[in-house]
Amino acid sequence: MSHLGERLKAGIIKDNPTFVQVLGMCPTLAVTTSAINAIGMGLSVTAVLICSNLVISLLRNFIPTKIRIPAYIVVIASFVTVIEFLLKAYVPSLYSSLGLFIPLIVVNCIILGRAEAYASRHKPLDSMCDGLGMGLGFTVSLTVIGCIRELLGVGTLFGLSVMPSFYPPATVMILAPGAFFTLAILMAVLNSIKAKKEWGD
Amino acid sequence: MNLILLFIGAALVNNFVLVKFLGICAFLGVSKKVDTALGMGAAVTFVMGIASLCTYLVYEFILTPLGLEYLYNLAFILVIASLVQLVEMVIQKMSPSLYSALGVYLPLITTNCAVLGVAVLNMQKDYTLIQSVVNSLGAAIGFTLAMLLMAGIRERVEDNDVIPAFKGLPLVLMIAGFMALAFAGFQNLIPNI
Amino acid sequence: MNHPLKLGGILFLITAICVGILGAVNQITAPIIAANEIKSEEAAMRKLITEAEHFIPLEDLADESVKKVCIAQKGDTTIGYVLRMEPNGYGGAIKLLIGIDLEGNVAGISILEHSETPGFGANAEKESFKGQFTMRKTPLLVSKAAPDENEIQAITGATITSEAITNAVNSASEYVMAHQEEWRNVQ
Repeated sequence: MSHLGERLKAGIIKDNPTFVQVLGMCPTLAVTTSAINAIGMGLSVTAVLICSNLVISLLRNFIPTKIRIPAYIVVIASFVTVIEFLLKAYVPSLYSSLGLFIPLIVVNCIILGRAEAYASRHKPLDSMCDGLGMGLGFTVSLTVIGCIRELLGVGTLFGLSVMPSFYPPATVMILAPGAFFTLAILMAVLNSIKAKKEWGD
Repeated sequence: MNLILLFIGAALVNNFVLVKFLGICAFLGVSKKVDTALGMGAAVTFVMGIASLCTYLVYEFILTPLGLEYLYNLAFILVIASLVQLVEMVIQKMSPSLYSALGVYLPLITTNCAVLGVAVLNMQKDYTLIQSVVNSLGAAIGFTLAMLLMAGIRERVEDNDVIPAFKGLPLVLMIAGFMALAFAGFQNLIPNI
Repeated sequence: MNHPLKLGGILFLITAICVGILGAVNQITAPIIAANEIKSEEAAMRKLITEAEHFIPLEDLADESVKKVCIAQKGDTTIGYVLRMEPNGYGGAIKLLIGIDLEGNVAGISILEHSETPGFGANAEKESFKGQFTMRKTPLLVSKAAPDENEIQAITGATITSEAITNAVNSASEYVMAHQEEWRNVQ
């Protein structure tokens, strides 16, 4: 299973969908108001990615090139709807806090991107590993952003109070501007780390 | 009167890009120049207007009578995808000049979550046909406005000497953050939407 | 090979299979989803009128702003009412349950669903705001300063949300006082 390790590493670090490929920005910014929402969104996307990658890879020789995009969209939309039903039935509170962004997983560029770039030309098992890697990479990025915003904006982490009581929560962090600022600063930090590495070489 | 409020609400108070985070990919990707931003905005406005009309009709007259409301997501994305194709073909035949202006942006619109987003929102809020279209047009105008503002700012700051780490996307995100702060000022514009 | 009809046929086949699967999943999950909604609403109602044993929903409501009325009963005696109202807040409809006792006083309120701004209007969910309504006489007013006897302290930065909820509570109480007589014979 060295393949799995390699795909995981690619998804989480080398080709991280959020910080390296800059895909799926809408949910990244919108649902990261708390760590738990971020994880919920990340795992939902991971589930859809694994399933859609598997099915598209299985059908890769059956779907004619000309209609591949609509065919992929149908497959992805179906899995998204299944996830929507499951969340509504078993985790209704998470469903209501993610709201509009569950149906919008359909147009998350990561999923269509992976279908087109990977699943359509690799074997089913590899494609599932790729889906898992990319999905976890997305989940990790979202969770990091979610933790930072929740910590600074509300003073809690996963709903537990962690900041000292004299810390006044900076509400702006969980509003729209805070999302942009957090992501900007994280990306700048990554840029400077990358620049330092290149200097070292 | 209510329609005007709905329109302003969708365009400014609940700006799709800066408040609701819809259509961020296009907002970050094609806002380097004012011309391209305008082209993308126009294409989105066009498709959003027609798409909200079509998705409303599909939901109200096909899905609801058949009791298949739960298929809304699949139906909407298929409607939007085929609509974008159709619009592309029609424009290509009818008006080559318009096609050369908008053509490049059309394929990108299928995966623009603002278009699907507005269709789903219209459905969730039970808007009537007219309300749906007005809401979509407001949202589209808001999207175009945010795109244009961003492109205008980016053209001006492009050659500025910024901290190396912030070059590129981080700078754009910072600008977007300040724009979102400014748009938060619209919050009390409308007392009751 | 790439005849348009064949392409269309394949796409149709894929879509048909997907729709079939979705239909099956929907069959399984739809009852669970419906049960969840009823359960969470009943739990919320029980929190407002704690002594109630069962709730009887009423039909034919006279006022459009009142979405639902349930009579809370203990044994055979009515001990209060729960109304569902959906006033417009800042970010859209706020779905509220309002408990009213037999004298028209507020027994308590609970917020089922809202899309208010986090950090501002969303603070309506906090006990510090909604707890103010418990056991209060109506009509209530919203105040930005320290509240008087018939006043509710507004949420900081969210006057619209505060007023929407307070007005809904006032009209719920009015509605109960106006129609209580008609409901006497409901069993």
